[in-house]
Amino acid sequence: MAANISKIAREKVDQIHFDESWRRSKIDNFDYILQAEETQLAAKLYERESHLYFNFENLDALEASFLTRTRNIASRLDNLVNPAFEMLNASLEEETKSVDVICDKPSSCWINLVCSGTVNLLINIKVSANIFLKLRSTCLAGSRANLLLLLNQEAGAVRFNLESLMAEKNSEISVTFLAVASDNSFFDLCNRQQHIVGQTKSDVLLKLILKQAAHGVFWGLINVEEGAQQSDAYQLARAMLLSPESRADLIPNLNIGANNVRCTHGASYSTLNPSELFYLQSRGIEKNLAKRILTQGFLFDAGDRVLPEFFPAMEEFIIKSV
Amino acid sequence: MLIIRDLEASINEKDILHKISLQLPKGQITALMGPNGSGKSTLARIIMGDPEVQVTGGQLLFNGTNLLDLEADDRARLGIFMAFQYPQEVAGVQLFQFLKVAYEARFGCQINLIDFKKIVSQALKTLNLEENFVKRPLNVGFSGGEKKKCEIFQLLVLKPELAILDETDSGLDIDSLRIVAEGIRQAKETNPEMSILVITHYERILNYLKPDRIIIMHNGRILKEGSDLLLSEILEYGYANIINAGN
Repeated sequence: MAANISKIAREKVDQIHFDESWRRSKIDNFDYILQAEETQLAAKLYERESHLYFNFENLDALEASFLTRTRNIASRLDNLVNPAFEMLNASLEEETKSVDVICDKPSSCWINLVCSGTVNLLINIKVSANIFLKLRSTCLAGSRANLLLLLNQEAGAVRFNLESLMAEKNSEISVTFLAVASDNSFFDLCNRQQHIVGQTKSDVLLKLILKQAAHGVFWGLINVEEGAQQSDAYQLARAMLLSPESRADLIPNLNIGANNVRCTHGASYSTLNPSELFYLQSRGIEKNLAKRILTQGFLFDAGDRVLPEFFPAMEEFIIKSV
Repeated sequence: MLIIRDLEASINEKDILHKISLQLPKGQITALMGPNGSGKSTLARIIMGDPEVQVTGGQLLFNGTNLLDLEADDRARLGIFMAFQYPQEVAGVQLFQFLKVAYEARFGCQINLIDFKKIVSQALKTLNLEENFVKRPLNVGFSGGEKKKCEIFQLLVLKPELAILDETDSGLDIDSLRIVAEGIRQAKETNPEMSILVITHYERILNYLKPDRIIIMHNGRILKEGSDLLLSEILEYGYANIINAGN
């Protein structure tokens, strides 16, 4: 019954937001963003639109058309699709891989991972332009995936669609996403944990640091399909705001269609804790250094989730970007 | 070493301290006692430089330097240390690395890893702590006793000239109290000029530390100063007698 209601509700949402004219304007806007030289303007445009991303069923179709459009643009503009991402567009099996990507031009990419066996992936992204990314991990029976995503954004608008598709029983995925956004940049993570079958486990953590006038958005959904019993899903987004001009909007959601599941989600905002700062200063550590140590600590706190072989890269990322 | 003159302070515009005057001479151990809410911890926080406490009047001089102009980190580098009543948990910051940064700040020099490990090991041994204690995030998931020990561990490494112990003995079992007191005694032995201000409710720690004098605070004022004879009076009759006599 509940599932039916939610289905009806979703159809209503479709009727409201996803009519043809909206779709057109959306696509046009996206083109505009890709070509915009004025980053701030693009970020604002994107911000206005981002709350409309809520419907997840139509999103695929929408993004497919985005992608076609952006690829068309790609043929017009060289290097629009980042070659480093293209490299990943293969199935990973029993692999540990790390990729460094620099996005200094508008680019977009759709990465499809098919996980079987143990898959360990580190993607280290440095962004200074508008990018649109979609990373979908399809987790097959017996797979154990551990993803570490590091993103340092100095400008532009980033839209990151992160999707974990629990397609077969006894599969597990853990995603740790550490992001630092500064200046006027706009960071938008859309996370979807889709449990199609039961006895699957997904775990996504976002830790986001927002400096200066950066704006971060997290919209996340754990979707357990009907009958996907014994699904185990966890979703947590934590943002740290380092300036009064920075802003975060965190929206975690659950949509549960089974009655024997464990699904937890959470979101939190914080600023630097004055008591922690005083504690560090009381030991002789100068104020700015103490702030830096606390901010780095916010990210290092996710260290237990990270594979030992990826730890040095994470450490370097944190020290460089904070 | 430390001169407090007519100090007045408030927290959130509520007056807490009224014209406190007190001197902490070199090498002396001073015990600060008094009922809950008498302003002992506030006084400690002022000396350390907690920005949440507003000093509204008076003077605070440390070896001639006006402390009221300085931030907490400047004061720590001058050699002031406070063992917190409720040590702060700091996620994601490893105790060892934190302490190395603090050590280098305190003494204004770089120290190589091997030398620093030696200092750390020595301090850990004094407090009966395992080597991997320092690999944990700062105070996170520590038991009450471990937190208090961690404060004294930091004291041993940072070698202050003035140590303020804010209820370090609260929540410690008898064995831990003995170990902690032994740690403080050792720090004092290595640096006999160190001045210690012990804030406490109990005589147990004072039996170990043997304070030179005892100061009683009540309602933000210093009520009485005396030798350890004062301690036996408190133990026998509580604070009521002293407070009534003072009023």
